[in-house]
Amino acid sequence: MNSIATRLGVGAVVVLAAFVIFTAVAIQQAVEKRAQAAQFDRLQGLIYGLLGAADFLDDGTLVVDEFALPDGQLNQPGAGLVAQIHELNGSSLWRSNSLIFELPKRADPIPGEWQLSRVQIQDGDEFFHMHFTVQWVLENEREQTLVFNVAQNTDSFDRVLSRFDTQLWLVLLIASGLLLLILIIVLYWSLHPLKRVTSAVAEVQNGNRDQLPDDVPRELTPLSDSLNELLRNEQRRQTRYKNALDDLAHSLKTPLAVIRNAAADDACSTHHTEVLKDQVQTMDDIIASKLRSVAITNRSPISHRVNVRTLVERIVNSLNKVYADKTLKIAIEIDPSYSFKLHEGDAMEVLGNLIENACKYGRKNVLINASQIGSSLEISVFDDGPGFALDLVALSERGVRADNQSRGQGLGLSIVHDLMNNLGGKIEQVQSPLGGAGLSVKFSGYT
Amino acid sequence: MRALVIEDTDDLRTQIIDALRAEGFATDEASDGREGAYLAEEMPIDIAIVDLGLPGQDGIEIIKAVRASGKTYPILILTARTRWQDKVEGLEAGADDYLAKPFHMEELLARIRALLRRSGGWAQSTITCGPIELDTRQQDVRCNGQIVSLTAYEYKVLEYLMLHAGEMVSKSTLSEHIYDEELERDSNVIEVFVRRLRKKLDPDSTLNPIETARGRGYRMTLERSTTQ
Repeated sequence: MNSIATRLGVGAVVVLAAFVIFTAVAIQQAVEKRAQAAQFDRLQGLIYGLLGAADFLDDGTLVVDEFALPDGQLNQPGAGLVAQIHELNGSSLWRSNSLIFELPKRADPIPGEWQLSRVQIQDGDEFFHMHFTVQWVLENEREQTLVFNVAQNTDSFDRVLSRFDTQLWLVLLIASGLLLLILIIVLYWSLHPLKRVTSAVAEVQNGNRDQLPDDVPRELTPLSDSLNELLRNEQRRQTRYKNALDDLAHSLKTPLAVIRNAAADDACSTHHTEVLKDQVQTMDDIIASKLRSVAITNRSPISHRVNVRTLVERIVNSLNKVYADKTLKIAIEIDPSYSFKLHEGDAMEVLGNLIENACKYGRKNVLINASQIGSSLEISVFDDGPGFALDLVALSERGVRADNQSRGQGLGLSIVHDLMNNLGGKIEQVQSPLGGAGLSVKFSGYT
Repeated sequence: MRALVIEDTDDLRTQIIDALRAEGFATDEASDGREGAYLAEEMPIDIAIVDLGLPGQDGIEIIKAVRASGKTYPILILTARTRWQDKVEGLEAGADDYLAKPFHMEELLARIRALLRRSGGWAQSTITCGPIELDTRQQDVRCNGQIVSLTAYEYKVLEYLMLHAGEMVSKSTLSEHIYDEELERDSNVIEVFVRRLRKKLDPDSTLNPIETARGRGYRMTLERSTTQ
């Protein structure tokens, strides 16, 4: 339930269902009551008609004029409409021709009271049964209490109601289906800006854009404004931070350069010169490695998608300038479609160091290739130089002094090692098809 | 050869300038970006050494401006920034080489020499024109294998002419590339240097290595070739 769309969807469906059921039940009951009232009126009318058709002869015999009966059905045996007149709690005085069964016995109402009920006769048929008690004053001033019964089969009543129910539910279902469809469209339409914002955030994270767009819905403006401010702050922080690192490096390394060159002065004794050079180298290494580790731990959460081949080509073009005198042949065998989501600076640091090492130690040829398997990307750099043994332990310890540095122990590979560790990747030595050194770095989960 | 050093730390700049002068370079120097950008545009520079973290104007901007104005002299970046991204950006901006601080002065000089040779179309440290050999590293000159003793200015004139062998080089260009200060420049002195060079390299006037085109300048007549 942690999704706005699900919440809105479930909410809409529940409200819609409750509304439909409530409406259906209310309409059903109203219609049934209305139909029952109509039934009551009709049966009452029949009893009034019966009252009009009934009379007492002088001898006190009750007669009913069959031609004056209020409904012709009463004369048809087996029809669904029947009538009967009987004495109060007593024997039947008259039965309509249609009455071919016995109406169930019921307590008669007091005179002037109308009673309607639903009854079941022996064969299971149901009838609306109305009875009404009248006190009939005969000509001899004698009073006779009569009970008029009219009953109608419930079949047609039930049929009409059930047809109405079916239609009601059908109409409501179609209506709610349409409503649901409209709701889904409205939901999609209302949530569309949210999706746009989400994809914009993803683009920011991928580094394809710097800020969220301005045209976000009004309700989200405070959120996008805050996010944009946060992004600006982050960019400012990164710039400030990079500048601070640059300044620090500049302010530490420039004096080191001065000291180193002063130490080389002829006036300095050879012993002092060596000590100074040594210390300068140590300080330089420490500064470089500390600055690097600070930079690694303070990485921005936003990284761009970097095309591997383009990146390698940029590095190679740069190195071609630096190593112009060597006339190296640097071959790049990387599919132009390969890319990874990595900070360009990190990617460049790793590959720059590896490729420069190959250029430095290679004789004539350097080969850079890459392969992508699933989400892992492996980039290998080979040279035709003398080769060396990669000492991962020495790299991770990094206490190597300038005077005992050899290939595989320098700051460059140490930076690569630290960075790859930090990125969750790994560096390993591989067989070089060119006969020299071969190093491979594997990035997992960055493609 | 005329070198421009743009570096804001006075001590380091002085060290580099001293080392370059000792190598026979004429030098220009700037301690901030704006001054550096001006000199880089206006002076007849053969090579520039540019720090990246400069007050006033960033080194990268200076390099871009120099290249945008069509100047092709080599530029070496000297910086405390050791990130690869900075290196690549600097080289992409138009620099030709990159040296991280702290550096060894010998390495800086070696790189400068290499860049100059490369810009003159030379892969080796020795330039040879006929029987004349000029070793830019040792700064000595041999003719038919015999060491020829030259003064610093004579060496500078010969080096420039040999690097531009076959090309006509005006007196003013020569003086611009071998003198530090404008007021020192005197084209008559160039004539003196050329006369002395002819006498030292070709005492019998058989070789005739330097040709004079009246009113236009001088030309190294011997074709250059690579040896070693």
